This record gives sequence, structure tokens and C-alpha cells, in this order.
Amino acid sequence: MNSLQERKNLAEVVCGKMVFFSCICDVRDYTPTNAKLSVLCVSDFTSDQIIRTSINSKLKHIIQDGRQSLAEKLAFIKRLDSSYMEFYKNNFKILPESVEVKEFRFDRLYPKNKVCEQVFEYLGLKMNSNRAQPLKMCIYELYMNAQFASEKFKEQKDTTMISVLVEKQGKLISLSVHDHAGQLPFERVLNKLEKTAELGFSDSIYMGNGGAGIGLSLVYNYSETFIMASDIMAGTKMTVILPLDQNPEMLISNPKSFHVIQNLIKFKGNSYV
Amino acid sequence: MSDQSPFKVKIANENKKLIISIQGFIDKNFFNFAAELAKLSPKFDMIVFELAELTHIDSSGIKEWIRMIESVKPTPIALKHCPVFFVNQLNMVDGMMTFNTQVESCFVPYFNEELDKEISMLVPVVKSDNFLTSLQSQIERDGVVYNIDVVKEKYFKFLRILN
Repeated sequence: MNSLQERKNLAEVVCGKMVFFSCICDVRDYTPTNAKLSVLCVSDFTSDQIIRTSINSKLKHIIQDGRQSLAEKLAFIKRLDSSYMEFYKNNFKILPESVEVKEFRFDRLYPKNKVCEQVFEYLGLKMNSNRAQPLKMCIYELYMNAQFASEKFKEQKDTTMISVLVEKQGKLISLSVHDHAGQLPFERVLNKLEKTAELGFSDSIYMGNGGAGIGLSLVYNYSETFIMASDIMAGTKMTVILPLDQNPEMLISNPKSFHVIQNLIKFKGNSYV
Repeated sequence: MSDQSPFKVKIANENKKLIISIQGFIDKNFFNFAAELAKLSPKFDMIVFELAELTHIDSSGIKEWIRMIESVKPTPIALKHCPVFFVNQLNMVDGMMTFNTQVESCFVPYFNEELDKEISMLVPVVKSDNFLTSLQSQIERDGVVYNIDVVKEKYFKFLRILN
């Protein structure tokens, strides 16, 4: 299997710099035999050609339409092409045709069930709706991660507030959780997702003190698109897109895409708008 | 972070069966309760979890649930009124079910796409060859027809885990 370092090197070879890369294939597809096909689709957003080449030559046969079509996913990547530096802005639209980006700001000690209730109320969802359970899981897990990180780094910087951003476009929901800790390497996330895909949930649970280590894998399984960016200056922003009109079983079997936005600092210095 | 327990438990003793009703959601705070339960369990023939009022279980709750299941072995555990999300977790995280666990009843989701309405029906889980075929694929409530919103074989995967 290509190691993360090898994939990273490849990204750097292709781009010369690694700003943003996307894995349009499903992380769960990684196996020793198809690992090479799972090479991350890389773009430096200065050349559409790189996106097309990567997709056509390496990833085409494992990309499938989910509830979000492949075209929509590519459109998202292309939109970031010109505005990826805006990703951290809390009014940045993940779903281009959503009416608004609703921002909720919470103190890091605010309980996760209350956060969930507010988001559900905004979206007009019932807390016990079966089809909304994946969204509920995503809210709990992403917010809980943000709480852990905010608590851990509270002595080093101001991590008091956590933002939860919600967009709705038809039956598609985009949910983002943005904390100010900003020290979550994407390699760690990818490793967790791959470990769960390989060993299953039960054998991936960390039984020591602390979290269970499967939260992000649950989120990944229950979403269609997973976008992350983590930067010490700008914080960590995790975004998922998932449909509300599918039952959890269908959602789990949908193809996934994983996108990382990385190294913005090279381009923006220390000033994040 | 608030460490206040997000769930409440009611405990009853019925003929050496320990009946535990959980209300709210299970998270890492389940650890303390599970530790107490491990001490109590040898005194009972069975532990019955009544889960109708369980609202959620997060990843840290899943971890504590697995620890609890391990710590009360070999006392048998029965799960009653399992909500749909709980069944989904049982299927996804197979360590949540062990040889000493059985699901007595669970809710099955039904959906009407046209009206965008959903309901759940409580189903007693029976270990028989025709259990899945006997499960209604369509039900009617107040003049509205609902179709089963799961693939039966997938939703009742936990039966295979037990076997």
C-alpha cells in the first residue's frame, strides 16, 4: 500500500506544492491490491488539466455517483479552485445553491445534545426522525472532536468558541464544525478511516483513556463528502455533506469522497480573513 | 466539557432479572454506571435493557457499551425496544453484540416517500427461519401506506452476528 508519505510525495511531485488535494475515491476501497488506484487526486488549482488527468487516468473506474453526483463533486472542487482560500470564512457556501449559511456559535462547554437540538430546529427536523439520525451522529461526533481539541489547546490559544455552520440545498445538508485549536493532521484522520475500513469498527476502538477513535469513521460512513482543513492559525474546519432523503443503510453504502485543504499558510501568510 | 450524565436510569428487580430502563443518550459517562453494573450482575440471572427512551449513542458511548457487555459476562443480556439508530450501531459495530446478548424486540422504520412521512413499528425478534419473510414490507396507518425503509437482511444482520 502506498504510505501516506508516498502519497504526499506524489502530491508534491504533481503539484510542486501541496495546497489542496482530493481523494475522490472511497477511502474504504483501500486494499493492498487497489491501493495504487487510490492515489489521491491532486490539484494545485492552477491547472484544470491536473484534475482531469488524475481522474481520467487513475480514478475513473472507481468513481460513482452517489446522492451527490460526480459532476457536483467536481463542480465543488472547481469552485474551490478559484476560492479555496475562502474555505475558512464562515459565510463560504459549500452548497452553491443553498439559501444561506446559518452559523451557530457555542462556548466549547456547551452540551452536544443542545447543539444538535438547535440545528435540528433550524432545519425543521424531528430529533427522533430515523432518516435524520446520520446527521445527528455527524453533529455529535464533529462537535465532540472540536470540544476535545478546544479543551486540549486552551492554554495555548483562545479556543473558547466553536462554530457550527449549516446549509440546506433541497435534501442535501452541509454541516461544518470549526474550532480554533487547529492541530489535527489530515494523516491522522486518514489513518483512522483506513484502519476502520481494514479492521472494522469493533477492532478499531481505542480502549484506553480518551475518545473511542471511531467518531470520524462513523461520520465518514454516514456522509457522502468529507472535507477537512486544519491549520494552527485558522483552526480546524470539518465539513460533511449528506442527504436527508436516504435511510442510514443506503447512506453507508454510497460512494464517498475525502478532500483535504492544506498549507494555506504558504499563500496567505498569517492573515486569515 | 460538561461531565454531567446525559442519561437517566431506572432499575427494577423482577424475579432475579435486573431491568434497566435508560432515558437520554449514552456517552462516556456510561462508564461509571457500567462499573456499578459489573458488580451487581453476578447476583442476577439476566440483565434486561429497556431502550425505548434512548435517544442517541455516540462513539464514546459505544466504547463504554462494549466495555459493559464484556464486564457483565457471562450474565445474559436482553435488549428490548431497541431504537432504529441503536440497531444500526449493533450492525455496524459487531462488538456491541456478544454470545450473551439477545435482542428481544426492536423498532423497524417505515417510510412514505410521497408524503415524506415516517413511522416505526415495534417488532418482536424471533429466531426462526421465516422471521424475515414474515416481516411486513408494507403497513397502513390512518389511511397512509408506508414501505419498509430498510433492507431486511441488512437490518437484521445482528441475528447472523449472534449465530
